[in-house]
Amino acid sequence: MDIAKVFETLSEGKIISANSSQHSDIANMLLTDSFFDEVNELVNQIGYRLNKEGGYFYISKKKKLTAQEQQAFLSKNRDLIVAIAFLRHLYPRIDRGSTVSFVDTVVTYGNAKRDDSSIKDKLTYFSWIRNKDDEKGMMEQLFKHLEDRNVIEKVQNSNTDKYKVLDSINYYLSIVDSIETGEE
Amino acid sequence: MKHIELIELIYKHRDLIDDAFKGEKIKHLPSELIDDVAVFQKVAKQYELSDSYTQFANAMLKRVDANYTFGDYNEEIKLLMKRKSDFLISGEKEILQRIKELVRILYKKIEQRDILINARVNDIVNDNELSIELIIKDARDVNERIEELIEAHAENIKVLGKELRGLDEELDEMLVDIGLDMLPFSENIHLYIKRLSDFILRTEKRKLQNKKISSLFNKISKEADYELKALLLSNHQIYMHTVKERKTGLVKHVPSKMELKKTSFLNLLSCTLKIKKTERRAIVDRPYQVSKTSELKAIRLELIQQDALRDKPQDLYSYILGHAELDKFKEDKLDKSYAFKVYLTVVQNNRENIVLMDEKYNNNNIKVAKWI
Repeated sequence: MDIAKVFETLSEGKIISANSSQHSDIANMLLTDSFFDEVNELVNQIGYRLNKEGGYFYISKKKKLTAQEQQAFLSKNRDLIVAIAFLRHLYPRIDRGSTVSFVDTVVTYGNAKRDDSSIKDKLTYFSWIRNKDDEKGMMEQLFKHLEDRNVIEKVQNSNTDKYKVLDSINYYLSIVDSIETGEE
Repeated sequence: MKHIELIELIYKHRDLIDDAFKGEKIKHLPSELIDDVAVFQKVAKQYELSDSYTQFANAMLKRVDANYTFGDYNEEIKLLMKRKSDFLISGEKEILQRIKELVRILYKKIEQRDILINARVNDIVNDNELSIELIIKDARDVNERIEELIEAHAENIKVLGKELRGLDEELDEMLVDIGLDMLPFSENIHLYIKRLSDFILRTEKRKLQNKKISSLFNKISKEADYELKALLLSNHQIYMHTVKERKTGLVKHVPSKMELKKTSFLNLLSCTLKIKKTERRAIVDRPYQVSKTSELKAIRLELIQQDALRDKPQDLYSYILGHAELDKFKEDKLDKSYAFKVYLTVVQNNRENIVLMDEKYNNNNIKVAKWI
C-alpha cells in the first residue's frame, strides 16, 4: 500500500471509514499523522483538501464549485440523507458499528408501514424504480446505494444479508446536526 | 369478560396504553379501562397503569422491572452493629462467630449485586428492541437506583472497615481482605453511573437527530430544503467532493476558465511537477530545395596574362585590380579579393617573367611584383 493507491481510492470520491474491513489498510495508514500530512500536501497541490473527522477520511474541493458540480453535489448528499432517514425510521438507534440485516429490514419495514405509512414516502422518494409497488426491489436498490457510497459494507463477502454500518454515517448525520431547521 | 374480549379491548386502546407505559400522563381515559378491567388505576387524582398490568407487560417483554431496587443492605448493617454491642457486653465467642458469618454473607451479597448491576447496565446499553423512549426511561430509572447506592455503599465500607475493627484478630484480618476485594466494587458503581449517563446523553442526541432527519426528509420531498442547500454550498470546501464518483473513475471536475488559460495552466503544472529544462535542438531536415537561378562569374586568366605580357606592368596587383576583367566583381565588393587570387596565380605561373621587389609594398600592402 503506497500513497498512489491511497490517492486513487480517495479520488474515487469515497469516504474511508476506520471501522471498514475493506479499507482497513488505507484507514490505518491515514491515521498516522505524517502519512496524512503527506497525502494532504499532494491533494492540496491539485486543488483538493484531505479531511479527517471522527473515524473517517475524504477529500473535498477547495475552490468554488461550478454550477454543474453544485447540482451533483447537492443531489448526492440529499439521496444519502433520505436513505439514512429511512434506516433511522426503522431502527431509531442505528449508528456506526451497528449491524443491519436486509431480510430483517424487509420484515421491519412491513410492520412499520402498518403503523406509519410515511415510511413508504422515504423509500419511493429515494428509488428511481418505476414500479412503486416493488418495495423489495426499491429496498435492494437502497442497500446497494448505501454500500456503493461506503456507508455500509457486507460483514462477510459471502453473506449478502448482514451489513455493518461504517463510521462514514456520521458524515451525513453531522450535516443533519448542523442544520438549523427552526422547528426544534 | 372473556379473554379474547380483553385482548380486543387492549388492542382498541393500544396507543393510549403504550403512551402510559412510556411514562406519559393520561388525562382522558375511557371508563372501560378502569371499570371493566383494571388496566389503569387512579393514584392521587391521576391515572397510571396498574401494577398488575405493568408486571404482566414486563414479564412478556422480558424486561427487569424498572422499580427493581438493588439491595442497600441497611438491615444487615444494623444487625452487625447490634451484634457488635452484644459482643462488647457479653464477650461471647459465639456472637463473634455470628458476626464473621454475617460479614461473609454481606460481602457475597455485595459481589452478587455488582454482577447484577453490570448485567442490567449491559442489557440497557445493548438492547436494540425497545423503543428509544422506553430505553431512555429505563436507563434513567436504573441510573437513579445506582446513585442511591453510593451513600449506602459508603456506609457499608465504613462499618466493615472501621466499626467492626479491634474486636478480634482473626476478624480484623478477614475485614482487611474483604476491604481490598471491595475496592473494585466501589469503583464500579461510579463507572456504571458514567456509562449510563453517557448512554442517556447519546441516546437523547440520537432521538433529536431522528426528529431532525425526519423533518429534513419532509423538506427534501417538498423541494424546500433551503437550509440544507445553504449549508452545503456555503461550506462545500469541508464537505466531500461527490461529483461523478465511480468505482473505476477518478474524481472529475469541470475546469474553470482561469484553469483553462494557457499561462495559468502552466503555472499550476509547474507547481505540481518539477520540470527540468532541456536543450532544444531542432533537426534540420530539408529534403527538397527550391531551385534558384544563380549567376556564375569567372575570370579569363589567359586574357589577363596576355595583357600583362604585352603591357609589362611595374606593379602587377594594381594592374590586375584596374583590369576590365575585374569590373564584374565591383558591385559585390569582391574585386580586391579576386584581384589578389589572380595576382597569386599569375605570379605562380610566370615566375621567369616576374621579379618580386623585396621590402617594397604597394598601397594595398601587397608585395610589388614587376613584369620584366
